[in-house]
Amino acid sequence: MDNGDFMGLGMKGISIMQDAIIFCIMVSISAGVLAPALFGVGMVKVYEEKEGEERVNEALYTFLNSNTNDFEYILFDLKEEGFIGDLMKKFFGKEPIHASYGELISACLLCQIRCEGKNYNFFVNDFEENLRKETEEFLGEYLKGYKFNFTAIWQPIVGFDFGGKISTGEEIPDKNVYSSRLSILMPPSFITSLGMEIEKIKNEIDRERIKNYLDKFVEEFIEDNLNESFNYFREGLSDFIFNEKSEKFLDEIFNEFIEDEFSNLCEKISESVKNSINSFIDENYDKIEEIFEKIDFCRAEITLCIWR
Amino acid sequence: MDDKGRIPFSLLGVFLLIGAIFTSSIISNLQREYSLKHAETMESSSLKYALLNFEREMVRILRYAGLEAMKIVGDNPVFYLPKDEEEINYTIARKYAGEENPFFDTLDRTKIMNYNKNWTRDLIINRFNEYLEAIFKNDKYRIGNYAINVIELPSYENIKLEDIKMELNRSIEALDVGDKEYTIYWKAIADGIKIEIHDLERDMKYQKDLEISSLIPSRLPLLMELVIDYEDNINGEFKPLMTFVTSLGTGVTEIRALLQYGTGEIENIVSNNCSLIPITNLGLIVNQFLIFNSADIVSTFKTSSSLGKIFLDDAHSSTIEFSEEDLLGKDFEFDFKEIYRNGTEKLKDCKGEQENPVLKIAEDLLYERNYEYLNTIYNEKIIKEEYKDYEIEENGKEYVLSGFSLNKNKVNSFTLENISRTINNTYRVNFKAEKKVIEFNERYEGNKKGNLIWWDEWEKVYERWENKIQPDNLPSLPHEETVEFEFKREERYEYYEENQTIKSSVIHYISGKFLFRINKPDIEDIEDLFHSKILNCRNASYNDDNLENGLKLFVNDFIYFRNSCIKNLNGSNESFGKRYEVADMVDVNWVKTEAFKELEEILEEIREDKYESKMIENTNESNLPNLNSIEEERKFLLEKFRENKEKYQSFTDNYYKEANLYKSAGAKAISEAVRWYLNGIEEELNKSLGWEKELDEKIKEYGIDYEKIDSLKVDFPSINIGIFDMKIEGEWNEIISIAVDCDPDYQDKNFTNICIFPTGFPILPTPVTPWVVTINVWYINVNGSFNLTLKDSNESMANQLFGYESQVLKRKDAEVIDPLSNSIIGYNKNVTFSFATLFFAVTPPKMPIADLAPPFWPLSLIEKNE
Repeated sequence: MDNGDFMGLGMKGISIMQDAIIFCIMVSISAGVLAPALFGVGMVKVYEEKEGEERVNEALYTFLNSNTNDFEYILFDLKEEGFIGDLMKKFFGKEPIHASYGELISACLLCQIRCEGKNYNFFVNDFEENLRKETEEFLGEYLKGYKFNFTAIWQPIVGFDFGGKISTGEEIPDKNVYSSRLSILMPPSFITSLGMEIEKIKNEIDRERIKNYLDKFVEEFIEDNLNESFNYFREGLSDFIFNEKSEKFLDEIFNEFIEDEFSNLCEKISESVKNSINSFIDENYDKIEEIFEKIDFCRAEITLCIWR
Repeated sequence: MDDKGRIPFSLLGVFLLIGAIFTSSIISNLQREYSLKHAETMESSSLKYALLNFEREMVRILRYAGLEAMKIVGDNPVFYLPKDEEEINYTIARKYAGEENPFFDTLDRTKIMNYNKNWTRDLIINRFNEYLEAIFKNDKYRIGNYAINVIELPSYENIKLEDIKMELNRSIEALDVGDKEYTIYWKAIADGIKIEIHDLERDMKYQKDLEISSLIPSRLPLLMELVIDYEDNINGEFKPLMTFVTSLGTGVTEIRALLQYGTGEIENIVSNNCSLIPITNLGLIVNQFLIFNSADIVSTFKTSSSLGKIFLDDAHSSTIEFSEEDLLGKDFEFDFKEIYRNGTEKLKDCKGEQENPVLKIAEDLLYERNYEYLNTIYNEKIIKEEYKDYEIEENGKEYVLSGFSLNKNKVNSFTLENISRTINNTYRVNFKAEKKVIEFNERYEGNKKGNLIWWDEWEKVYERWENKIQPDNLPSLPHEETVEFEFKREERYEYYEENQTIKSSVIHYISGKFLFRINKPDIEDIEDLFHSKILNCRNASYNDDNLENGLKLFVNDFIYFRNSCIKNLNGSNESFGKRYEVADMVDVNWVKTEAFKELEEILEEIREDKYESKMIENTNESNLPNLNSIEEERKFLLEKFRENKEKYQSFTDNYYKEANLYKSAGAKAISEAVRWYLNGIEEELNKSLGWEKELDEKIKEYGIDYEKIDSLKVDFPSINIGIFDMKIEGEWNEIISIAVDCDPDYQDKNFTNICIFPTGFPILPTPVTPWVVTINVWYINVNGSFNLTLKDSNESMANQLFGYESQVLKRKDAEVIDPLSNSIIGYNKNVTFSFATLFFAVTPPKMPIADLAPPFWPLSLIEKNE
């Protein structure tokens, strides 16, 4: 130690070299230790996640509760130009003002007769189409920088192919997707009232009685609701526009072009739905209590997914 | 090199490493802490949106409950709540009315709105709570890790409906219907809701009071207010419907009356089917359009079709036929001038000659007339020689005046009297004679003292006459003669003196000069007056005394006067006058005959002149006769007669005058008779109308002030009926169009028209003499009802088949059953319309101007559609 060498090395130059090398190694290790903390990807992720979650919740909330005062659609998809178009619009056009998108979505779901992935209610094709466009436009504008998928589904009986659906946006990727989901109340209708009554049969376990009840429900739905609405519309139309002699003229048009088709459609739907229900109950009778839990006539599921 | 203090770099590196590890751990801890906080933020954000979405869901439920309630109310609202009706549940009625005496009729706006609003409140709260019970109980409503339950439901008192008032701007204003503020929406406000937020993860519960509010997007309040306005407008006197129907109806009635007068093609002037019903339906549609800016299209079409027969004869049928072609190409523009034009153009086809009202008056002054009275039930006529009243009763039967006829065999005694009076006036002469004292002297011979006690006759001393007229002479006038004279007589006087009467005799002399004069009567316009002459009348010649006899008579009387002056000699001027009437002088019956013949000549002159009424000629779509035209017609005829009057007088004067002098007194009498006659006609034409009183009395029993009705004016040239948008302006702006449906589309029940004067009423100058116009009046009573459905253009109600449907308001006769209590809480009512009015028709003189073949003739003059 007399020469003051550390670690017994007398050569200062070597010692300095070793020192420097060790120092460099230490600095590298320190940098390695600090780097994850200083450049942590986790924080960025957290921020992104937060923004995504907030954005999707806010977008869905804003969308569902925003009013659109210029939304309109026309029955039968009767889109004409000029005077005839104005006339058609006057008598077949629908213009719900003060309705929020949430209400429009639920109304659109309600009036669909969707089985096997197809909406059989040809009266409201324009409604669905216009609403889809408006939704896409609204969310596209609101969610600039995001891609999105909006899907609203009303499936009164989970797993049973009947109800309504409206969907817009791109296909949802597997990851990095933020979603918001909630259920909204269906508008007042025969079916909503029935949903409120459905609790009554939740304790019913007799297969035939359930079948009969549901068959009766389907018939009533077709008869009392669809047919009644149709007749109401026809009578209203003939009452408000034409009647007496001209009513015959109009009746002929209805009979020839619409009513027959509509009756056939109703009959077809009724039979198809009843068969499906009966086979569904037969197949799933063991799980009937579980199924009842999945019956919700009054509410529709709405999901908004966004991603970059 | 500093060997002692040297620190190796490696050691620094170690320190650096330790420091880095320490720092890294701090930063990592900080990041972890932040991440944990972020998770909490996410969680609270999730709760925030859970609550926000829950609240919005509640708002949606409130709106849905509101719409459901308003659909029920709109389908069958309460518009009538009578008193003491057993079936009505007055306990609930009092609750909804908010008062002890909950009674109202269909036009009581405040009570109706309040009652239905409170009923809606009850329906809303009931439905709202049903939803809350079904959806927000037992943790059914979940968002993320939270469930939200409603643990306290609001009550009836917790829900309020606030009026949202806005201005409705209509596209057209008329009949006092224009822009107005209405309650457009109700805003529902619900409080008293208690919710529980259940943190499912931590199993913690929080409670919160909630108050929500939402606009119910149904415009039912507006529809209800509008229907009340509409019903108010079509009920009662001087309301828009009555004003419109009266105004248009009087015009149409006038044209139909002129068509009956001129062409004879119209039997019934006011026909329910042809005129009253179409006009009333048009009035209903116009009012519908003014209130709703929309009208029932079928009603409009049917009315439009029915207006096509408005100037046709009664079709006895209310069926309206139309084809699809009509329907497709129809333009529902009602141009009221066009309606009138259709009728007035038909007037050009007037066939018969028009009556000459002046001739009628002229005839009436010459001949007596008979009055025809008709029993309308048995179609039986009686003739009366004098007018008693418009309606008379004889042998238990009622008759109405139905016409007049001239009896040319019977001369109008009044005229004869006036001819006689004229002759008397002409053949009346006043003569005057006078004595003027030119000189008068007296002297006495003897002692004239005391009082005259005796005198003798005058004894002529001398008498010298100049131009002295003899009896039966015909002097030329003025006639003057003088006499110079002296007369004497003995006179005796006496006086008292010293108690003695002393008498004396005196001779009294009078001398002087008198002028006697017969003045010329003030008749300057007769040629050769006081000389009889031959007067050549139009068909015969007569010796006209020409007042000669009168002068002869006066000369004799003058001589007597003159003699008497001479006999009673005095120095005063004296005069003497005498009037001679025709009876004193001469028989001039021939003048009477000739004067009447001359009047007949004048009558022919009048007949040749055109005194046609200007009514038809002047009638066009902008100028229809009305009650004011009676005066105009009178003035027109008077003016025209005045223009011709001089001509008629000249017709006579030219014949009976020469060098501006009447050929004789008889000629003058005839001319004066003509003057009286012409003045008589002028006077009749110039008489102020005296018919209002009579009309007033007749109409009084129907309880209508005809003057107010007559003053009704509607300036309504053209209207396009369709379904138009109206602007709603207030906190925000929006538009509305309303579809209207009436059932039945065409109102043809409960129409009554009564022809007040079954044969027409001749007026001017007086109701009974020859007349200038015939008027008639119809009492109209309309009283009906119909279902009315209004449909808002806003599609606010969800519909299973069409997505949305409109709010509808139905007015129909029905009990209103509250679905909550299943009891009757009042009545809905058809929209009613009712009014009474008068239609007037004024035509040139002719009878009858009336409903000649009412559908129920002859049993009744009243036409009713029931």
